[in-house]
Amino acid sequence: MRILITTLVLLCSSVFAQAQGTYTLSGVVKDSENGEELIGATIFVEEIKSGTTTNVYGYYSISLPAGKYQLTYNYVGYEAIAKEVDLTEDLKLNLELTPKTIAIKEVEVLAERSNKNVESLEMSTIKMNMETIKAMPAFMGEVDVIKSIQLLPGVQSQGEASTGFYVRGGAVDQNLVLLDESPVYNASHLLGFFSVFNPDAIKDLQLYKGGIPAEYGGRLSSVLDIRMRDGNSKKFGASGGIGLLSSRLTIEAPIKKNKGAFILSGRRTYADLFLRYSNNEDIKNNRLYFYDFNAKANYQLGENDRIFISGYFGRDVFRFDQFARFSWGNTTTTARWNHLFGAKLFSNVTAIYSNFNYSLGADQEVATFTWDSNIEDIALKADMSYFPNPKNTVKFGVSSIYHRFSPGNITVDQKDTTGFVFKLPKMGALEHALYLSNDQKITARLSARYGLRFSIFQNIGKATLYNFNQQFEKIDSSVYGAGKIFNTYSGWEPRLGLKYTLSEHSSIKLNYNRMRQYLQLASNSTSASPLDIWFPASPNVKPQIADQVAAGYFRNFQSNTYEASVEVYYKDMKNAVDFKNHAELLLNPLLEGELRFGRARAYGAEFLIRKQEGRFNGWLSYTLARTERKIKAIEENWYPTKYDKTHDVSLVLAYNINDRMQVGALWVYATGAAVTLPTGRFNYRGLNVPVYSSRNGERMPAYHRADLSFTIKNKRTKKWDTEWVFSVFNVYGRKNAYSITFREDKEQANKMIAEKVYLFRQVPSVTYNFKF
Amino acid sequence: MKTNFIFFGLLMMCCVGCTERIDLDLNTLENKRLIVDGWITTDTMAHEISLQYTQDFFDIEEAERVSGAQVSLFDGTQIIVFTETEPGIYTSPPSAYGVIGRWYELRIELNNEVFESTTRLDSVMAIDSLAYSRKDDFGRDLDTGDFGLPLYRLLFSGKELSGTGDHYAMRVFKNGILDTDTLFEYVLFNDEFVDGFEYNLISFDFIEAEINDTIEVELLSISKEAFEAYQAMFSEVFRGGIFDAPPANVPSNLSNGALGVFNASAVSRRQIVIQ
Repeated sequence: MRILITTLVLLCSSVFAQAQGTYTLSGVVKDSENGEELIGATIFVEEIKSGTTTNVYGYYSISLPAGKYQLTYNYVGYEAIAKEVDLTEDLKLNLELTPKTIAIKEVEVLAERSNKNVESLEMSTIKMNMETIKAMPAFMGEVDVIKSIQLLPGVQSQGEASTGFYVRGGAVDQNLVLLDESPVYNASHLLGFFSVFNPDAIKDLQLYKGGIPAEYGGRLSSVLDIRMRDGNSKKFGASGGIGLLSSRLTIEAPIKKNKGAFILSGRRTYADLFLRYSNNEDIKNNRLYFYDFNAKANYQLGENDRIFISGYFGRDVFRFDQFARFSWGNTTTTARWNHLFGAKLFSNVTAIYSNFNYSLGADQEVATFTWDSNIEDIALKADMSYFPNPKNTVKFGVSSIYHRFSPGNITVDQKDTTGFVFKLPKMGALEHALYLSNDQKITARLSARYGLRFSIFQNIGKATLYNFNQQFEKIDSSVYGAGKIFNTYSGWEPRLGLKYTLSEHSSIKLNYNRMRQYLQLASNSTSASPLDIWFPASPNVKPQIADQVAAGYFRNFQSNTYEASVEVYYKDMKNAVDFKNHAELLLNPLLEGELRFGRARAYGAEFLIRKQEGRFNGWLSYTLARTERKIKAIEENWYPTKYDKTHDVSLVLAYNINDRMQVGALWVYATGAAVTLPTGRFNYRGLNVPVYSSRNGERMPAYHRADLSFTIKNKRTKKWDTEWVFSVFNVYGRKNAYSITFREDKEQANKMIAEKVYLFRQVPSVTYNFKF
Repeated sequence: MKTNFIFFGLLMMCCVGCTERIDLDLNTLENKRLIVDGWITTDTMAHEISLQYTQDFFDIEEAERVSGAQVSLFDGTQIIVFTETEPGIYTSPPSAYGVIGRWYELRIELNNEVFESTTRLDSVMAIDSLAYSRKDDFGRDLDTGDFGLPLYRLLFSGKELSGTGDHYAMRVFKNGILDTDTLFEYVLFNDEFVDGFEYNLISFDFIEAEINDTIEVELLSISKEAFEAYQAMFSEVFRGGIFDAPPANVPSNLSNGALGVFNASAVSRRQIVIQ
């Protein structure tokens, strides 16, 4: 560790070495139509054969010796702009790029295409724009960002039509899902069939599977960084869609032209609205719907300051007359302040509030019953980017989060007699982090990103801690007063990325990251349930630690038309958590006694060929992987996790027939999930009880399916753009097994039969979208 | 109690899922395992312990009964010997009875292997009163059941024993015949959230009955281990929900890999005649 720090200090000292007479060119790159900042646009300086990219606020800064420079501003899907500047003083250059129309895409100038895929330090990272996502066939017409990333190498779906995802052998709770920097603790609607991200409100998403930059932490396997749109700062706009399942409406407008804007976006399913017209009183009072509401506003307060306020509010509501009601949802709010300390130092301060809660209940004549649970985060963070010279970009920052867990409260009110209240104790925790990193171009061919993060986790009272013996039985408990910090974990998290350019069209990259995770999800089932609760590390639960190395070869073909990459990775996870057999995870004050700890490892190879632009575009991805756990208290040997999928293939294609018509297609194939199936049974007082051999020792049948979509745009009128989207999920109607169950044959006593449950065969849908 | 709420999810899944029969080629069982089902209660009677082997999952034969075992029960003062009265069924002398507070050690010797179970006979809460109703919990009239007889909702009152850790199994007899004749129909509950709770006409079961039928309810104290083994059996048999925990072998309160449960129970009873 000491050597590492020394190296870091030495490297950093080179960062600040600066020539005299250098000036800074900085500015913001925006979309010319709606004024949205473009994230990750490249600025290439011909004279130094190098450049920079815009950050998540569209800001760039590059310091160069005085002189004339040829610059190229480039962003995927946009027309590149060439600029010549004469740098004799610090210069601010805000630029607007225009999206390419399909007509232009066909006659692209080849030289314009960027070889960013090869040249950037990024690996194990995928960025997707909403245009690509919207072009894919969508399940029930609901465009879904999470289902789109499941089609990328190294990312696997939790199950049929599910928005749960596994990254490189990491569990679902090892993904940090951020919406405008605020964590989203349960990103699913309707038991996971849809994600909470309304596509109309999303600007950009980036998934880090490895080489995770030092500014992120808290989860072992991935970071999914989703940014909401800022709103149209040029003119009023509205867009929306009417689908079979839901309808969407987005309104955006400048607060002051080119100075600030707001966006409001809502989505609601409406199947239940028809229930109200039912003659049946029981059905009439049923409810089953979800909604999302996104709101964001931003305002430029002079040259150097800008503020953003954004929020997400979504809920699922399910009600069965008076028998049962069930609702869950997320709230996230983020307030941000961008400030420029001169042209070279960009700062952002963020305040975050996030809450996920659920509530079950029943209101019956004799009694009412409620069950509530939630997790809340209040966080403050400051992130700085320093652009001293074209060779270095330094980032540093600090963050603090206060987590508050309320694992469950039950109240029963009996009208004629007294009721009872059962409360699991609330828990609190603090999570702090400091980080420093630098992106450095060491030579023309070699670049490095190196960083260190130091994270601290503290359990804070008021709390009751149960102590367990070797057999996981409760011995006694300790009580800590309010505000008392009774347990602290901390540790370094080094991050490293290297890129070596082999030629203009190829490079090799290497990365390493250590991640620490202090929260986990008590989830033990096939599908993530909204009832799953998050719980913190504690004296009984050590933080999970992952070390991952990945290496990759990147090669572009035909003047960067085709991007190809191969990556291999190995990930080792310590203090991996699993649950004992027949664990009781809900409403269990002794939850920590149900946990078993061990190791996990994941390794694999990922192949990707992608064509991002042109009339015909798409990608083919293939992942060969293995994910295993060794938890002695559960099984002696390494056993596959349920999401260990040996082969995983995705093919995504889009073809623009002409300006008005587009076809989308996708095909996925994955090895069946690892499952535990019975080998024997015994009859016990009328029950046929199964006996199993090894955990996850068997396989479900392989999963595959194809989806198609067809989009037709209506003739453009003066103001309106409208389109119809038709899609079919599972075109060839494969009955993919969702689960395998067993039961006694009704016709023949003492005979067992196996049955598979499948959810969907062909599911057609149609959506009408409009925009003006 | 907790599992009751999982039905929300199941209900939602029912709306979309389809089921189809498939042929599976499963590995056959390598080793047969001993299955024990035994019960000693505070009643004076010939108590039974049954022994059988596991069988291959898709086997359609009857399970193999285990003969020739030496079965004995030690209660701290004396050894009660169980003799094989029919294949796989081992019976105590008719004078045997269990005593509250005693520890019971079951010992089964079979082919030079020993299987043991140790359990304490705990006291049981009293059933203070029984009642029945022809209406459901929402006040609606009940229909007839599968056998065409009127359905009755059964309710009971009683004060749960103070001190946590009590587990109960409830069985219902109609005119002296066990009506809840599978484990599935046993009413199992504990005091995890409701220690010392005053049950006041709480409905616990439905029964098909006629006028003048005598309904007898039997409440048995069981151990935590037995309760958990039964719960695990339910969850392994009634699988299929997407929120199910991963499949796992059921626990038992016996040693050496034997499965099943040996119970030592105190009994409380109450009768009511349908009028």
